[in-house]
Amino acid sequence: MGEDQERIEMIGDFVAESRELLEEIEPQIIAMEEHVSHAGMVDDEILNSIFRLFHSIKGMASFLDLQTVINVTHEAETLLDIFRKGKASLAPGHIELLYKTGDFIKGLLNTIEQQLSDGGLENEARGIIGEIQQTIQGIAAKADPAEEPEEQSPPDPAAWIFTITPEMIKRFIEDGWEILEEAETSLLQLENKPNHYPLLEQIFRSFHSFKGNAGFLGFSDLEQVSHGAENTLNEMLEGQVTVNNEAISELLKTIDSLRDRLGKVVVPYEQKIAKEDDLVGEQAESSSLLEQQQVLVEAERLPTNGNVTGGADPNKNVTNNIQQAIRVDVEKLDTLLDLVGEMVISAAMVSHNPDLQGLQLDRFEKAISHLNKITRDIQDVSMSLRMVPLAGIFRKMVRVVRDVSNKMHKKATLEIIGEDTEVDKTIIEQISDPLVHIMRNAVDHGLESPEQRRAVGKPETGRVILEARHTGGEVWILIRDDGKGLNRERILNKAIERGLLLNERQDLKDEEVWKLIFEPGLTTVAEISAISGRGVGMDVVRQNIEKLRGRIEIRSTPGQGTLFIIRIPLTLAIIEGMVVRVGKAMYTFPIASIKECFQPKGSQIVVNPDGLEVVNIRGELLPVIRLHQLYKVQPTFEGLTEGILIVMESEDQKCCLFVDELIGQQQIVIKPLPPALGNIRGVSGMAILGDGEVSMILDIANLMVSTEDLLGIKTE
Amino acid sequence: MNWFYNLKIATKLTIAFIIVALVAGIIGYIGISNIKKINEADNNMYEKMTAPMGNMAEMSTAFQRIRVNTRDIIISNSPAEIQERSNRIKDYFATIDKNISEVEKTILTEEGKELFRKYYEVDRVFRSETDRLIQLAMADQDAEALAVISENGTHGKAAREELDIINRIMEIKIEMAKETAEENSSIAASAVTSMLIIILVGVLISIGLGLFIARIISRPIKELAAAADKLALGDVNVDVKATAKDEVGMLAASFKSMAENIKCQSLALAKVAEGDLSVQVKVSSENDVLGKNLSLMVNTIKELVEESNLLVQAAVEGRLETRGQAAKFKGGYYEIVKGVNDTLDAVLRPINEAVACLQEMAKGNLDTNVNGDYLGDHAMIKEALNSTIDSINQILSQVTVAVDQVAAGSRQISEASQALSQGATESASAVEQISSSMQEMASQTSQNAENAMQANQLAVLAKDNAENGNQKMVQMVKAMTDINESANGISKIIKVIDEIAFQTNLLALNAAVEAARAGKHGKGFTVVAEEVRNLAQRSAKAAKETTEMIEDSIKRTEVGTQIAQDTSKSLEGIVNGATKVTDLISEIAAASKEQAQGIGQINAGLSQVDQVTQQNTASAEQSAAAGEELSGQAVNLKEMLGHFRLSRKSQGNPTLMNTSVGIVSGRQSSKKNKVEPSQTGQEKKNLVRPQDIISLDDSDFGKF
Amino acid sequence: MAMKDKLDLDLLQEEDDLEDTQEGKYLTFLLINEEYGLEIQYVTEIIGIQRITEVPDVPEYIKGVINLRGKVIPVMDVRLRFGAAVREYDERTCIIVIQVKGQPMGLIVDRVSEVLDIPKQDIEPAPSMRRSRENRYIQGMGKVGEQVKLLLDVEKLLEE
Repeated sequence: MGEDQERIEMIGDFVAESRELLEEIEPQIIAMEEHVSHAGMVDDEILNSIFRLFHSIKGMASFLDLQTVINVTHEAETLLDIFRKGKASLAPGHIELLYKTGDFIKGLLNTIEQQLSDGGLENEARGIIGEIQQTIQGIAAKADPAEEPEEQSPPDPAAWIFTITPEMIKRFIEDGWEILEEAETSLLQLENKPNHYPLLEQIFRSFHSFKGNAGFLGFSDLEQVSHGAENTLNEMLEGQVTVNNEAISELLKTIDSLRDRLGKVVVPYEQKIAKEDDLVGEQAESSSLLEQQQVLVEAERLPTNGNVTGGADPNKNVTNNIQQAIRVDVEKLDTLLDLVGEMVISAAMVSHNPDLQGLQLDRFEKAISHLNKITRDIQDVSMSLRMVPLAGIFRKMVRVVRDVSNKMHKKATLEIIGEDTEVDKTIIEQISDPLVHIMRNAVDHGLESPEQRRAVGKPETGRVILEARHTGGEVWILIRDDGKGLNRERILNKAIERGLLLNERQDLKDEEVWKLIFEPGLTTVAEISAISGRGVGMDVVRQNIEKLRGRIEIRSTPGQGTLFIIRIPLTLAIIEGMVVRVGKAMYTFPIASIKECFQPKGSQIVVNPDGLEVVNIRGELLPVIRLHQLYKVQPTFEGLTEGILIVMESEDQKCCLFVDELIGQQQIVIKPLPPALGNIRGVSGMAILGDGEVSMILDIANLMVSTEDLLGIKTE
Repeated sequence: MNWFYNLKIATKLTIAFIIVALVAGIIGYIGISNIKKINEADNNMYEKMTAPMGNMAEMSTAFQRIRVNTRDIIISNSPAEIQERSNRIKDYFATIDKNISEVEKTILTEEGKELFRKYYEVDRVFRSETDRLIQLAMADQDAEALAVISENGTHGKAAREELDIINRIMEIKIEMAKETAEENSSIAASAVTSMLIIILVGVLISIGLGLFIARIISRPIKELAAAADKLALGDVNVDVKATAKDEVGMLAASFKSMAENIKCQSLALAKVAEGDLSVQVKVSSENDVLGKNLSLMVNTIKELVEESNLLVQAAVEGRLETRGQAAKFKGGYYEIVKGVNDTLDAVLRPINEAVACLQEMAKGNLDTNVNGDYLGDHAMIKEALNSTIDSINQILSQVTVAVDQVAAGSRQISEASQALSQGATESASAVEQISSSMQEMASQTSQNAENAMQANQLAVLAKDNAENGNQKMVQMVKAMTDINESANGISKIIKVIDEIAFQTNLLALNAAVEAARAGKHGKGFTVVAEEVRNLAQRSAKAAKETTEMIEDSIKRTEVGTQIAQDTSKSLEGIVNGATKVTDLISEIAAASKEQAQGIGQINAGLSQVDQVTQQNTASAEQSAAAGEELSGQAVNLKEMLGHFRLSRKSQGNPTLMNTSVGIVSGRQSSKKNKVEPSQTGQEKKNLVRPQDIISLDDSDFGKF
Repeated sequence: MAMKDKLDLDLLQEEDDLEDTQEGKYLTFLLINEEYGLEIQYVTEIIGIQRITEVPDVPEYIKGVINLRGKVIPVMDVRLRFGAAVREYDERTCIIVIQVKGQPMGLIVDRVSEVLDIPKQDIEPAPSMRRSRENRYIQGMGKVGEQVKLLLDVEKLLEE
C-alpha cells in the first residue's frame, strides 16, 4: 500500500513539475521563433534550454516509466538535437511541431493525473511521433549524405561547450541527490524483503534516470557507474543474480561513490573530463558486475587526474550545492496563515489590552514592540508562502496572443510588466480564464488588421500590454491594447436588440455602456470567429472575477485602444488600517486610501439644492458621504463641524467621509466577508480589532459608487 | 332801448329766436353754394382733361399698330395677308379720327389749336405715305418700301413727326389738367375760410342775444323774491320799485301795496302790546277781518281792567266776601274773573277752622284737631297746629307716669338699704372663712412645687435611656445593612460559579459534539463529556439553589433592617416626648412657686375687705331714712297733674316704662323735660342707664 | 491498478466510519419553548452569546458577525428566522456554530440542551398540513421518550 501511495505522490509531483516545465518551454519556443524570423540563425542558448526541458520531462517520465511521455519527449529531443548540432536551420513548420508536442504532452499530463498512468493515448502519441520523424527524415534528406558517418563520431567540442550551462548542472545535481536518496531508501527496504520486484524496478529506474541525466550532461564517469549499477539490477531482475546482502551493500557503495562524485561536481564543470571519459564510456558499454568494480575503482581515482576546482573538502562543496525545495500541502499553508493572522490579532489584543491602559510599563512596551516586529516578519514570510508570482499565467498569455494573432492574420506583440507580482494562489487559479478571454478579445476585436493600422497611421504590429501591480489592499491586473477601442453605438444597438436596454438610452455614461459587454450573449462582432464572438467570454470573465470579489473596469477611447482593469482584493492580507467610530459601529479604512483627516469649519460646508453636502478644502470641492446615513446607524454627532471628515482617494475619485471619531491606526488582518452575507455596499472585508471586535473594512471606490446610487435615490 | 324792455316776455323770446334762425339760414346757403362750385370744377376737369387722355392713349396705340402693320405688309409677300393688314390699318385710322375729334373738342388754348393744325398736315402726309407703302407692298417692291419706311424715308419722318405731335398734345393736356386741379383746390380753400368766418359770426350773435334776454327777465323777479322772503320773516318795512311795464313790473306793483297794508296794522298791534289802549284801529274794508277783531280785542281788555280794580278796592277795606261779576265776560276773560273769586274763597276757609280749634284748647280740652284737608301753606298751618296739640298731650301723660315711678323708686330704695346693712354683716363672717382656707392652700402649693422637682429629675433620666436605646438601634441597622452587602457579595460569587458552570456545560457540550464527530473513536470520550456535563449542571443547580437562599436571606435582612429602622424611629419619638415632659414639669414647678406667693397677697387683700364691710353697714342705714322722705314728695306731685284731660293714645305708655324709669333717682329728675320730647330719646336713655348704675357702684367701691 | 482499488477501499471504509457515528446524533436546543434537534455533522461548536457586530444590507434575522477566535462568522437569530418575537439575550443564550456546504454560520438559540441519539425508526416526517413559517425548516420529528424534538433542516434554514 505505502508504495502505491508513494507512486501517487510521485506522479502528482511529476505532473506538477512537468506543467511548470512546459510553461517555461512555450515562451522559449516563441523566443526562438522570433530569432528564426529575424536572424534565421538559431540561438543555441534557447535551443538548449528547450532541449533540456523536454529532456528533464523525459527523465522524470522514464523514472515513472510513463512510456508514451518518454517516446514523445524522446522524439522531440532528437528533433531538437538536429538543430542543436546545426545540421539544419529551424523552419516555422518545426516550431509549430514543437508547439503541438508541447500541447500533446499537456494533454497527456491531464490524463495521467486522472488515471495515474499514460495509457490510452498511444495512438495520438504515434501520430505526433510519426510527424516528428517525418520532419527529421525530411531534414536528413536535405542534409549532405557525406555528413552521415559523422553522426556517430563524437560531436565537435564547440557544440558541446555550448550545451552545458551552469544551471543545467545545478538542476542535475539537485535531481541527483534526490534520486540517489530514493534509491538508497529503497535498497534498504529491499534488504528486509528481497525479491520484491516493484522495489527492484524502482531502484533500477532510479539508476536509469540518474544515468540518463549524467549521460546528457556528459558526466560519463557518473554515467558509467550508474550504468554498471543498472546492469547489476537488471541481472537481479532477470534472476541471474540473487539479491543478497553483499549485492545490496555493493549497490549502496556505488551510491556512496556516486554521491561523493556528485558532491565534487562543481559548476561550471570542466569540459575536459567529459572528453576523456568518452573512451571510458565506450569500454563501459558491455560491462558486467566484475568490470563494474573496476570501473568503480577507476572512477574512484578519476578526480585526481581530472582537476577539480572544488578542492579537498567535499562537505563544503556539498553544502554549496544542496538547495532543497519542499512541496507543502496548500491546506496546511492556509491553516498556517490563519494561525498567523490570529497571532497578529492576539498580539494586537495584548498590546492594546484595555487592562494595560494608563500603565507605565517600559520593559513591557519594549517586549511588545519586539513581539510586534517579529509577528510582522512571520506574517510577511508566511504570506509569501501562499503567494505565487503571476509570471506563470502571464507567460501563457504570450502563447494566446501569438495563436490568436496568427489565426486572425494580425500582428501583435505582448508586453508583460510586473510578472513577478505575487498574488494568492486562489487568484492565480481563478484569474487565468478571464485573462485568456480578455486577451483574445483584445487581439481579435481590439487590434485592427495591419492594413487598417497602416491606414490610420499606427505601426502595423499592435501592442498589447499586460501589467500587474499591488495597489492598496488590491491586486490590479491591467490589459491595455492600442486598437480601435470599443464601439459605443454598436454596443448600445446590440443591447437594445437583446432587450438589455429598453430604448435608445444615449444619456448612459460610457462606463455604463462598456459594462454592457459583460452581459451574457452580447457580442459586438458580426461574424462569430473561431476565437471569440459568441458573447460568452466576457460573461465568464465577470463571473470569475466576482468569485474573487474583485471588480473589472473598462476605459476605452475610440481609435486609441481599450484598457481593462481587473481589481482583486488580496484575500487574507494584513494591512495598515485606520479604525474610525460612527455611533457604536467601528469601520476600518486602508491607510493607503486616506489623504487627510480634519474637523471642518462651518464656512467650509456647502449644501447644494438636492441636499448633497459638499466641503471646500483649499478650493477643492469634495462631496461628503455621511457613513451613518449610508449604514443607518445612530451617530454621536449630526453636525459636520462636530465630527471628523476623512478625505479619501481611490484612483481618480476623491470624497469626504463623515465619522464621529478616529480610534487609531492598527495593523489589521483582512478577513473575507462570510459568503452568507452576500455583497455589502462598500465593504471589502472584515477586520478583527485589538479588542476582538469585528469591524468592516470599507473599500472607498466601491463606497463612492454605492453612495452615488444613494444620492441618486435621494434626488429622485 | 326802453321800448324793448317794455315788450311782453313772449315777444322778446320770439324775436330772439327768429334772429338765430336767420343766421343759421345764411350759413347753410353759403356752404351749399360753395359745394356746388367745387363740384362743377371737378366735372369740367374730368370732361376737359381726363376723358381726352383716354382718347389720346387709344390714338397712339392705333398709330403704333398702323406702323407695325405697314412694316409687316412690306415684309410679307402673300397678297392675301397684305390685303388683310391694309384693312386693319384702315380700321386703325378710323379709330384715330374718332378720337382726335373727341380731343379737339376739349382743346381751348391757342397753342392747342396750333398743334392740331400741324397734326392734320402731318397726318395727311403720313396717310398718303402709308397708302403708297401699301401700294409698294402690293407691287412687292420691298426695297423701295423699306427705303420709304426707314428712318429717313418719307413715311418714317411723317410717322415720327406725328408721333411727336400726339405726344405734345398729350403733354398739354396733362398740364391743363394740372392747372385746373390747382384751381379747384384753391376754390375749395376759399369756400372753407368764408364758411368758418360766417359760422363764427352766427354763433356769437345767437349767444349774445340769449344772454341779454335771460338777464332782463330774471333780474326783477329775483328782487321780488328777496322782498317776499323779508316779509315772510316778519320784517314789514320792505320797498319794491316797479319800473318795467311788463308782467314782472305788474307783479312788483301789487306786491308793493300788500306790503304797506301789513305795515300799518302791525304798528297798531305794537301800541296795544305796550299797554296803550287808546289806539284806534282803522278798518280798511268790510271784510278786513284782521282790522275788526283787533278793535274788539282792545275794548274787552279795557273792561277787564276796570273789574279787577273794584275787587282790589274791596280787599283793602277787609270786605273779604265781595266778588267780581264773571257773567259780564265770556271765554277766557270769564275764566279770569271766576279764578280770582275762587282764590279768595280758598284763602279764607282754613283760617276759620284754626280759630275754632284754638278756642277749644283754651278751654283745656286737649282732645281736639284740625280736620279739613288743605293744600300748600294751608296744609302746613293745619299740620303745625295738630302736632302742637299732640306733643302737649304726650308730655303731660309722661309726667304723670314719672311721678308714679318716683314714688315706687323711693320705696324700693329704703328697702334695699336695709338689705344692704344686713348683707354687710354676713360678708364679714365669710371673709373670716376664706382667709383660713387660704392658709391651707399655701401649704398645698409648696408641696406641689417639690413634687414637680422630683418628676423633672425622673423625666430626664427616662430621656437619657431612650437616647441610649436609639443609638443601639442605629448600630443594629448598620449591622443589618452590612449583612445585606456581604449577602450581595456572596450572590455575586454564586453568579460567577453559575457562569463557570454554564461555561463548563458549553465545554462539555462541545466535547460531546466533538466526540460525536470523532465517531466510534470518540465513544469513550462522549461518556466523559456526559459526566462533565452532569457535574456542570449539578453545580449550576446548586448555584441556583444557593442564589435562591441568599436572595431569601437578603430579603429577610431587608425586612429586619426595616423593622429596626421603624423601632429606632419610635425610640426617637420617645426621646422627643421625654424631653417635652421634663420641660413641662419644670414649668409646672415654677408655676406653683408663683402660686404660693399669689396666695400670700390674697390674704392681705382679704383683711382690707373686712374693714370695708364694716363701713358699708353704717352708710346703708342712712340711705334708708332718705328713701322715706322721697316717697312723701311724690304723692304731692300726683295731685297737681289731676286737672288735665289727656287724649287716649298717650295713656298706654307707662307700663313699658316701669322698669327703666323705676330707677330714675333724684339726680336724674333735673334732666327730665329735656329728655321727654321723643320716644327714641327715651329708648336711648334706658339703654344707657344700667351702665350708669354699675359705674356708679364701682366708683363707690373705688372710694373705699 | 492494484493500488487504485486499495485507495477506493480506504475511502469506503472512512465513509462507513461516518455512517455509524454521525448518523442519528443530534444536538438539541430550546427555542420558543420548543425542543429542536440539529444533525451533529453540521455542528462545529457551541459558544455563549457574545458581542455581535451589526452589518448593513442583510435580512433582519442576520444579526451580524462575531469574531470566533479570529474567524469572522455571521450569526442568525433563529427566532427571527422563524418570524417569532424577539427575545432579550441573556447569559443562557447560546450561539451554535454550524458549517453547511463549507459556510460557517452561528445560530442564536435560547438554550442548548444536549447531544442525543435519535435512531431513524424514532423519526417521523414533519406534519405537512400546516405550512407555518418554522415548519418550512423542519425535516422530521424525533421521539425521545415522552417528548418530541423538532429536527431542523439546516440547509433549508440557510437558504435565502
